Amino acid sequence: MTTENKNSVIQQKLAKTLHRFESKIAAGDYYEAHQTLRTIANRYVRARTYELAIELVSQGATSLLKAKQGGSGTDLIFYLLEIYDQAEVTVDEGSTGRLIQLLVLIEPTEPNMKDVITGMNNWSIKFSDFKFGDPYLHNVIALKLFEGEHIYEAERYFMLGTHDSVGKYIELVWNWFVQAVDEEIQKGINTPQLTLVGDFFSRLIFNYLFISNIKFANEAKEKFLKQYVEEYPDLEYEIISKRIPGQDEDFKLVLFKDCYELNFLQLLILTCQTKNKALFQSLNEHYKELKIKFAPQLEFLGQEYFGIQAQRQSNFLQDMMSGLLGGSK
Amino acid sequence: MSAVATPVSEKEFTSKFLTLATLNEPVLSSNYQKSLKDVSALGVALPALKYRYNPKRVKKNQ
Repeated sequence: MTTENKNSVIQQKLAKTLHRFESKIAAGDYYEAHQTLRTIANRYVRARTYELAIELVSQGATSLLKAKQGGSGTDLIFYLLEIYDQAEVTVDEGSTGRLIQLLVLIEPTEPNMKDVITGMNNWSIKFSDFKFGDPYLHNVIALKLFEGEHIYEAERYFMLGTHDSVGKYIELVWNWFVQAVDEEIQKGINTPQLTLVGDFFSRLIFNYLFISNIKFANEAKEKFLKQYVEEYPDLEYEIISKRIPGQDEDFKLVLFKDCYELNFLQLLILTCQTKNKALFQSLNEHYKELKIKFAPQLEFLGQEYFGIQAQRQSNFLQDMMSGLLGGSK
Repeated sequence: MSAVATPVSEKEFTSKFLTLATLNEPVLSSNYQKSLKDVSALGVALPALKYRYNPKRVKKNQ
């Protein structure tokens, strides 16, 4: 039998297996369908015919998830990731796309969802050049976590996602801010937006500056502040444009009269762009309260952009022992 | 928060600051993004907010 004929026979067998599997699913016999599929996939794995095993398991997981069998469906996803690992499947459009299609089908309330996400991301870390995992996968992971109301986790994946993630991340932070303002207004607080906006806006700016993504920090600045001034027409502000040498576009500062935190954060982006230590120190000096409020964030940025070493916390006992034993600080 | 400045001094500061910050071409352009392949640290964890986000309660006008 030629290789071509052999492949054709295998494909027919696979199609037959899948057909039987689908019939069992349609009949509501989920457990048996799941077990049978796993047994057959095992045979493929033992024979190292990984492609067939991957095809079978991913289609099986798809059917089970569509039939709202989250437990069995996610079990097959874990198995798929084991096969990926064993077969040393690298991150590419096909391998990631398969996982994304499955991820989309998982119900946000599925108890295994976060473990599935961790498993998928760990695979993408192991088999790609990205230390924190694949950005395309992150974009979908973030949306899924967001649907499941795991907001802080979603935020981290949005930050490490693609350009698509930026708009969604801004939308999330904006809606969160609006809800917080509503909550305060219901308590009888006047114009709470003025004191709250910095806490929300700063999340976008710091997270993008942390990973040296000036482009997304600027995009977040533009979009968020545009929404802010549109939503609250009573705000007092003026726009200052400044030509930057070598840049196509001017730097635009929306200078707020009653919201200096926003002024600081906008200037912080420009300061990071300059990598000028004296400017950074001058900014911190002027906004002393924010220097305290955002101390850990600014310390990180100080190291990252301006080469400022973080001050070591003094440990009295350690210093004394070091001195007694003739050590140097 | 009043220690920061009156509106006038805020404006004065930002005006001077912007002049100094835009004297030379910035080291990193406004479109700069470090490739995520080269990102080795994620910064610091941002503090949790006291407001719970409710995805189901998005404002009607949006």
